[in-house]
Amino acid sequence: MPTPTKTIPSEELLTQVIDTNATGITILDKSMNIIFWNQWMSNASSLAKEDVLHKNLFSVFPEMKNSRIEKAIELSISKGNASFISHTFNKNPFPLYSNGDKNKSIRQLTYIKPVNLKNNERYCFIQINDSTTSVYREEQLRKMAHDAQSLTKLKSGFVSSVSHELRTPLTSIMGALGLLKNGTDKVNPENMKTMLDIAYNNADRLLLLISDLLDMEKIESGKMDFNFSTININELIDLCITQNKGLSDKYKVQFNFNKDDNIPLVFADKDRIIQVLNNLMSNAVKFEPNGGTIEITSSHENNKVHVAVLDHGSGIPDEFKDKIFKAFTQADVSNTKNISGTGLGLAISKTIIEQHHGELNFDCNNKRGTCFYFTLPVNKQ
Amino acid sequence: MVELSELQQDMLTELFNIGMGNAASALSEMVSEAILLSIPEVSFMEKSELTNLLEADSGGHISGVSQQFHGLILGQALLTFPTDKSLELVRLLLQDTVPLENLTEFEEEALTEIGNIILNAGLSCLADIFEDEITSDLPIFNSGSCSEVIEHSNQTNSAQQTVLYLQVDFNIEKNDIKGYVMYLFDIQSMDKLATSIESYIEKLTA
Repeated sequence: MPTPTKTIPSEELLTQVIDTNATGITILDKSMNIIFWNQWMSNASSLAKEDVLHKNLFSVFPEMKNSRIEKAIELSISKGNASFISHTFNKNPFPLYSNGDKNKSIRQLTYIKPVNLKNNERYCFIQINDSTTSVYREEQLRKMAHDAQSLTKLKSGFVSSVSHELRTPLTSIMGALGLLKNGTDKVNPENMKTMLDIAYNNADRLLLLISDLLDMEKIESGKMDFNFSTININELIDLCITQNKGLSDKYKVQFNFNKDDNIPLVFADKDRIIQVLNNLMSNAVKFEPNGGTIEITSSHENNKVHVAVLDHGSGIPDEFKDKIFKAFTQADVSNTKNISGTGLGLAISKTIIEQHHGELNFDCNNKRGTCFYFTLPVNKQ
Repeated sequence: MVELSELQQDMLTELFNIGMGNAASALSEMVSEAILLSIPEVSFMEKSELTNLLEADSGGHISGVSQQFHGLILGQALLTFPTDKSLELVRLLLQDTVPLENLTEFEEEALTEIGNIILNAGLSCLADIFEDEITSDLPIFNSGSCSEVIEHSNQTNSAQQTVLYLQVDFNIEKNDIKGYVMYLFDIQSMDKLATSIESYIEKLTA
């Protein structure tokens, strides 16, 4: 039986193995001269072996002088300590790029280790692992966690606002019905009517709130349907003035409509635009001083139809201007008329107008009141 | 077991505090944040005592970084934190705004790097005492129960081991985090350490 021969890997074999390794490997002598540079290092640095061998590492990469890597190499050569340098804190990694593309820096994990030979010669072994993919994955994970956190915050804020908004009218309804239930015999018909009015008005408010909530939900899930047709905006404004007449009479304000008789037609969802106009008009009624006149103007310019609703109220407080289109935000201003709203109307209106490729915004001079306006693109057909 | 005299105790504490000062300035530079490291206490104990002590302090689960060292003495260097403290530390250093439930790969790597700096600083102190070189291997991250982490980082597997035990206090952004640095030696290395401490002090006081 033949004696098994002991094969010792040749230098050529070892070099090939290290060259084909998927990590960067370089070896320095105790003067920090490069004595080994594998293929991975050549590819990532665009520097061939011949370019770097027997040169000092920091003359090849002067930008890495005084870096953590330099300190770790010194520690390895002078004291024999190994270091691990993660990509996180490393401000000066090796200037290495994926496929030599300068826009694709390689994120690196660097291992620096002393190697002692039997003759007490010391070398410094440096291994670089490409962690670009795992860094990217972790960044994605962090982004997802961040988004999830924001969503949870938003959700809990929404739930607490909705619960509050739903509870308030419900409490009034329960209160009024409770009084009627427990004391019918003592309640005179006039008081009974007042109680029923309270219950009815609050139930009406609940209904409005729920339909607004459903609209919000539709908007957020992208399921709001639009039924587009060619419409004349002046006709819709006239209609809404009529619809809001009861409210304006009740609060002793008037509407004055400055009509653009040549207004072009728009391609829009009639019911949704009515919803927006009603929202802007009822808001204006809320803030217009008694006996005042709300100015409504239609005009057109640059292929856009422009509608403005101007009240002469106290205006919008500065600190509230940024939040006005956010759901459930109502400024705490003197709304002596006590017209309740859901805090969703403007958020819904803005979305509706934007879905029509228009813009809804406001101009506010606190002394002269507030002008809400929206634009809609002219129908080109 | 090595009994340290008061003088020896003071000298070791002082020496390690200087070493940790160097580590702290390296860490401060890395994270651009003032970090203070101090060693209020240095002591020796048996390995069996160590597990009990860490368990009592951490509630059972610890994270740690270990490195083997060689030279005149052989052994294992180990830095541990109760796991929740390691999360707190690494997140303070990384200024993490989105903390996840467990240490992520990023954070494990960051903690390994921090541990590496601290353990190397301590090994430099020991090398000074021996007036000889102590070389170290690459750091390894471990996490689990106290005994798992200690056993996992302890490759020599000798039951008779003594531990040089340092409490290390991190002070970052007004937060105090307590960790532990341990050097586990075998009996022979321990004897050498005791003699070296003696002669180091003799030289200092001569």
